[in-house]
Amino acid sequence: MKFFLLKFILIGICIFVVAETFILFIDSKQNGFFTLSVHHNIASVNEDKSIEILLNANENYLGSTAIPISSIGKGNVSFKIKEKNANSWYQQNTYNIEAFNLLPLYPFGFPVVTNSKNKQYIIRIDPVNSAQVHLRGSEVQAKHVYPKTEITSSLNSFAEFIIKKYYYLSHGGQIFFYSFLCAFLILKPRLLFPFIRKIGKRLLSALVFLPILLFIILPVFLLTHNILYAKNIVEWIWIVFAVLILQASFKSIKNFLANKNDKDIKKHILICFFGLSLVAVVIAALNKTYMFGGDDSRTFYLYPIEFFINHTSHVGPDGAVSSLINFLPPTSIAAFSILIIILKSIFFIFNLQMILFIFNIIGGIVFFYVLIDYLLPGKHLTSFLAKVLGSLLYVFSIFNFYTLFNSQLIAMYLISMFPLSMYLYVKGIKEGKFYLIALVAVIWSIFSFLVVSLPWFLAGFIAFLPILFWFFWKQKKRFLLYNCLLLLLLLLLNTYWIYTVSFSFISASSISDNSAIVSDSFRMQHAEGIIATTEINKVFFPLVNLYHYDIQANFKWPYFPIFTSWYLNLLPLNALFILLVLLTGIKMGKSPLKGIYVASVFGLLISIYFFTVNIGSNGIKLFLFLNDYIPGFVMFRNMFDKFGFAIAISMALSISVCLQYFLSNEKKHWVKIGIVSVFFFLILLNAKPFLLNEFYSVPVWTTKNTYNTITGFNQDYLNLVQYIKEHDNPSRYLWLPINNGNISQIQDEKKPNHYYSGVSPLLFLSGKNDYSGVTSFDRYSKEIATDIYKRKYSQLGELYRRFNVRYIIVNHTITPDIRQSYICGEKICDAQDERYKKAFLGKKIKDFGSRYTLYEINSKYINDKIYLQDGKGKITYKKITSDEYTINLSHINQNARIIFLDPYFTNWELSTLKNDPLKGSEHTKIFNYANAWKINTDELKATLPKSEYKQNSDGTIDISLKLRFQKSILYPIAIIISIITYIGILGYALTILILRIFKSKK
Amino acid sequence: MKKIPYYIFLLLSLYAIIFVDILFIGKMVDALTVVILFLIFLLSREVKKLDKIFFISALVFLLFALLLYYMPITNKLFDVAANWVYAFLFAGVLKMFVEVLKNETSQ
Repeated sequence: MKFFLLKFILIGICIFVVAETFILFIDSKQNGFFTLSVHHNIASVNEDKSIEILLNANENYLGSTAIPISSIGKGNVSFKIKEKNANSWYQQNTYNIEAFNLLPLYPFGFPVVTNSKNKQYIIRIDPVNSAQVHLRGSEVQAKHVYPKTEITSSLNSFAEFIIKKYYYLSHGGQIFFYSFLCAFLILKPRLLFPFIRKIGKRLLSALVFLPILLFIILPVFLLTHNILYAKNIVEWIWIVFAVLILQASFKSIKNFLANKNDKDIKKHILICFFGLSLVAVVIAALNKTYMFGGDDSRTFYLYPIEFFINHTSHVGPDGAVSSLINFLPPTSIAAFSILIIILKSIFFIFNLQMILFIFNIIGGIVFFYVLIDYLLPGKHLTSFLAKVLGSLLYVFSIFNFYTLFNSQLIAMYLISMFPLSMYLYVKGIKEGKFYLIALVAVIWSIFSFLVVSLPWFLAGFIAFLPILFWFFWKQKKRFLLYNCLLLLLLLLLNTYWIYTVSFSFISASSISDNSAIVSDSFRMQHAEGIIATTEINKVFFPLVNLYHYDIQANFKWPYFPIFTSWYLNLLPLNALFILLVLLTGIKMGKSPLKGIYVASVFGLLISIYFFTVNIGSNGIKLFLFLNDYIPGFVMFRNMFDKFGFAIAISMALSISVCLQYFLSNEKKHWVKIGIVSVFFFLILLNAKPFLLNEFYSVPVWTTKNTYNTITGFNQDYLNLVQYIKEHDNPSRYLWLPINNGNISQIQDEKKPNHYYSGVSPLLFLSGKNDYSGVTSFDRYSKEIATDIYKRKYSQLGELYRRFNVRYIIVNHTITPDIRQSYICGEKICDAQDERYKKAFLGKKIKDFGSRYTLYEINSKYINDKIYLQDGKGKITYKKITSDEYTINLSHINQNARIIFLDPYFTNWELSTLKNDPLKGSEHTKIFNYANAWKINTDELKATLPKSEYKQNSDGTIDISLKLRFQKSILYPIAIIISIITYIGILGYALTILILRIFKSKK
Repeated sequence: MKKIPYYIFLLLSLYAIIFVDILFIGKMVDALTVVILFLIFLLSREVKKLDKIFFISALVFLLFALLLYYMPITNKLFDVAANWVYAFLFAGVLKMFVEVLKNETSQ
């Protein structure tokens, strides 16, 4: 006990100073350094419909107050403040109550009251209209904003201010008490623990009586109209109940653990997991809400057959959504599309999108567990728990919420399919089981890992590479051989669409010049964007397992309020993840886990670099170097999106390894339970906004009250689609208003402020194409927008004519909220006013409810998909399929030119009905995108048999032609190769599986 | 008085440079980082006590970054500290990788 007291005092003071300084920093960060934050218990409150608080000001320069106020519903309140006994209010302000629930203490500002010291102030908050507010605590904060000059005028005033600041932040001595308690704990931990345990046990036993006591006291406060205290008592009753429930749960878990062996516990956990999963699947199946929209419309979950027929089976022409040229051939997702058709026929009336969404989550957890269990074998309960926590962290990672779950593209299935395919891949190579590698090829092909999901998949694969390096270091030859075979299988499985690339948009020279993702111009164009995006990234956030802050703040991402109100509060707790990684590095000696620890943390570091880029002085330069010299690397230009999944998987792998190390090396049972509980709750806290559906409840970006979850398309739209589908003319439809991008807004049937918001699904549903926004016109988008703003209608009409706009759909459901948002950026929707309508709307065709009206375009600009230019003659045509037309020409002369308003491809061929080529006719590009043929009638007369045409008396001819999109004879062979490979692999894997089951039964 | 070993002076100097960088310069120059980490690596090979210095340094700078994050400073010093956490963690894992590789080849 020598010097005990001295040590106790010194350590206590040290802790007190450090803690106070820390609080001072936090307070200064929030309120500014020259602000004194003084906590007051509310002296008196008159809470009827309005709230009235009496506040005693301890200091001068009273500048604002922060009040624990809560709100219900929407509306405003008026905030007033005056000195007690003053006749008029000193300041009045109106506040929107929606933000009240976001902060524990909501700040109300007013002009600084210079001489406020020792004066009493009355604060009154009156709800306006139907707004409802109430106090949820008994402590308000008064903020005294000192002028900088007064504090810094002399050293004395500065010191005095600092002392005051320390004094007010000590919360009436609470910090002082806790500091010395900590000091005692540090010096005599063994003395204190038994003491706390003993006292704790007695307190917990006594706690049972506390709610009864509180119930007895409660009426006293109610009768004396002390509502605030009564409210506090009710809160305490709940808290005590919660503690009692927790105590009972803890006791039962403890007894359960004491009486069961590891196997039983695992079994119970699995039963719970699968029970919950089943409930989730049932709820999802019965859910009526769809999350449609975005870049692929996601309508295939409801209309899979239409999607396949009108889009994914299309080769070449007319397959681009809303007429925007796509980077990738639509056929590349044909296999996925067929899978969805099969699943839809199984789950027919149920919500397939939601079912697959839940399956994806469950699959992610299960398959990640299977993968990590293979990489990190271990049969103990601790190992099981470490892997379960890793799996939960993987699926419920903020990086997945912000990227894959947010976009809901096909890439979302990486969450379940990536760990599954990696498990099959690793096991297949390690154990020399080729059929597993073949299954990997099937998974990667169906879920389009090599095309649509490629950037996310490749990012995840890069993060996984160190693990593969570590795992196959001794089997390099087999690794290379199996990978070569895998590539061959992938090639065979995907031949059907790889072959189509040669005659699809991606290779059409006129289009790919500017847009091909691997082109030089595309790469250079995005270098500037990369610099602008990465400059603001900070490695601090991904290190503490959080998404980048600045990109959300600068671009006003819709999730930003969730991030600031929830995730930023978790920041110090989330630091525990990286702390665990560091502590494992410190403690790990010659553990057998060292190899996988190094591999997984390397993967994590690689993903963090690519996710952030702005690390060190050359981080951005390195990324730009890779962008310059690695073909296709430009696909990672939005690295904050593409490498999110990589962080999720590598962080989960690292944490699983670290937890396994700690749990298997820790001998104390309660420490193990503590570690598991802390990380479990931490993962739950991170998952809270996702589990409570907060991410999908935010309004569409830059709108105030428009949401993009729908129960289905409105009936008027479906009627319109049906009408268009049955309409003969294949010309295009223009939406009015057209928006700033390439997206369509389709109102929900039941909820008027819920819209489908994504690429126009008209093509998928009707087979007819449309123009929904200015970017639908590709390189003419700027010209179109300028013409709309400057009202150059004749010029614009000419452009519409060139782009085969024959019909206009007036959408009456575009609300002012949408008009002011990014969708109608720069007020382009408002620019399409009555004058625009007068200039372009022609004959009215039909009304579809009150939502849509279909018009023909003004007769001045009327056009057709196929028409004659120059010369004499008449033309009629019929669309057979999207790649075949028949054309009848009558009385055409030497100068006739046939114009065909579909994207130019050399594959378009004009021939006679008997397939004889038209000699002397020249196929050229017109309007910078479409097709034109000059017909040489003299040459036709000379080369064609007379039965193919009719000569008229005036020298002109009548002839019937066929316009076809020529696909090579090899195309059907390519499809057959893919189908045979699919059947072969699945049959092979199934046979082996049946044989194995048969063997195990024997 | 017991003689203070030379490596403590060297380490103190190196860490002083890092702290100066975080608090006053705010720019982690890569060349300097590599030199500092290499010197620390050499020291850690020579002095057994410094075996885990990279991970410990990363941990210290992580706590420092957290402290800086909550400080009322407008410029983002906490991110420079986080850059150093990344660098130290990277160096620590690299060192461990060398050890694992050595073990694998010796077996």
